[in-house]
Amino acid sequence: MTNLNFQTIILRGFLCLIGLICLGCAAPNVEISSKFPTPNVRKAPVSLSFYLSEDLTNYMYSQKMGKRSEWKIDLGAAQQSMFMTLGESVFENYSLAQPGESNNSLDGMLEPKIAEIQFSIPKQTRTDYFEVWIRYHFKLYDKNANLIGEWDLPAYGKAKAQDYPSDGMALQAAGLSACRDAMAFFSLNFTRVPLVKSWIQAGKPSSAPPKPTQNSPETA
Amino acid sequence: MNISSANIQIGLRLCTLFIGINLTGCVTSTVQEIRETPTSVSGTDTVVVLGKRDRPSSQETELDFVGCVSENLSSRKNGIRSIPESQFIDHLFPWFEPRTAPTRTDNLVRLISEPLITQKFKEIGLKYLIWIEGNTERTDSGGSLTCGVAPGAAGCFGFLTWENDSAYEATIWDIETGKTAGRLSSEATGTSFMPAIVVPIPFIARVKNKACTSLAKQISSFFQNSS
Repeated sequence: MTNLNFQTIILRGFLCLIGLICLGCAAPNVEISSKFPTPNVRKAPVSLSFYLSEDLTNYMYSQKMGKRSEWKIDLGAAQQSMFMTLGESVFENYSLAQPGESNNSLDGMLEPKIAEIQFSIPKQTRTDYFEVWIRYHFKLYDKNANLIGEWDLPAYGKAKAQDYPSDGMALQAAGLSACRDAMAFFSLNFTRVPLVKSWIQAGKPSSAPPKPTQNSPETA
Repeated sequence: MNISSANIQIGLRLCTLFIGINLTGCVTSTVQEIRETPTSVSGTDTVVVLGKRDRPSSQETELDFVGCVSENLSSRKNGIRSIPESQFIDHLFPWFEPRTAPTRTDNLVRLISEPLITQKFKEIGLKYLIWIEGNTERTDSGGSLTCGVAPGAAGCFGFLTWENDSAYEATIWDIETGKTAGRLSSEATGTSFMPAIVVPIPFIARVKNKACTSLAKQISSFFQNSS
C-alpha cells in the first residue's frame, strides 16, 4: 500500500514536472495594453480627429521563431489609448472619428496604421535585449476628406531580458517601450513634419469634397 | 523527553538560521568621488536616480539596481527624498524616454529653458538628476557539480565557484545650473561558491547589493558634505 502511494506520488510529481516544462517552453503570446502618460508638449495649432480603423485596433502580429514556436504580440488593444492621449495633449481640439462621420468643426483628420512590425529575441541577436520595431504610417486628410499627404513614423523599443522574470514580460516591455517611443516622436515632431508644417503655414486649406466613388476612410 | 526534543528542534532551527545568515561569500568594494560644484539639499528637495538607456548596450544598468540606489537614498537616516524612476519618467513624458533623454549637460540646459519642463521640475521639487551607468557581470567561473536521482535517494557531489564584478558610475546633474555637480563610482568584487556533498550549500557573494549600498551611501554623503 505504501509502495503504491509512493509510486503514485512519483508519477504525479513526474507529470507535474513535464507540465511545468511544457508551460515554460510555450511561446509567449503578449498583449500591449496600458494607460499611457500625457505628453508635456506645447499644443500644435490644429484641431484634428483620429480615424482608427479596425485593422489598427485589432492589430496582432506573429513571428515564427525556429521550427515550432510562434510568438504573438497583440498591439491593437493599446492603439485607442495611445491616440486618445496624443489627441488630447498635442492638438488644440480633437475627436475620434467614426466610419462615415465628418466633423466640419475640425481642420481635418489623421489616419494612423501600422505598416510594419518586427521583433527580435536575445537568441537571434546574441544580445541581452528583446527589441521591437514598429513603422506607423499616417495619412492626413482635410475637412472634406481629401488626402493632403502621408508620412512614416518609425518607433523602437527594447527591454533587457534579465530585468524581467519571463520572456513574455520582456517582450511586452519592449513593445510598450516602442509604443511610448512612437508617442514621444509624434508629440515632439508633429508640427515639424514637412507636409504638416506647410499645411499649417498655408492656413490649413481644404479642397472641394471628393466624389462619392472615391474610397476614403469616411466612406469606409 | 518532550522538552529536550523541542529544545533540539529549536536548536536545529537556530543553527539553520545562523548558517543561512552567514552563508555569504566575501565581497570587497571601493568608492571614488569627484566634486565639481558645491551641493545642497533641503527637506523639500527631491532627487531622481535614472539608468542611462539611450542605446542598446551590454553595459546597460539593471532596473533593480537603479531602484535599489533610489530606495537606499530615501531610507537612510537624514534620507534624501528620491522619486521612483518610472514615476519621474511618466511625469516628464516624453522628455526622458530613451530617444529623447538628455545625454549631455548641453541638452539639459536646453531642456530647463523650456518653461513647461521647468514647471514640472518645480512641481516635484527636483534639485538633482543622478544618472547611473554600469552593470554587474560574471567574470569567472569554475568547478563541476553532478547530481543524481534514484528511487528513494537523490544527491549531488562537486564544487562550483564563480566571481562577479560590479562597476557603476553615478553622474549628478544640478537642475538649477544645468551643470555636472560631481561623479561617483562604486566597484565591488566577490566570489561565490557552492560545495555539494549530497546537499549543495550555496555561499553567495551579494556583489550587486554591496555596490548599491556603497553607492547610495556615497551619494548621500556627497550631498551632506556640500563643499
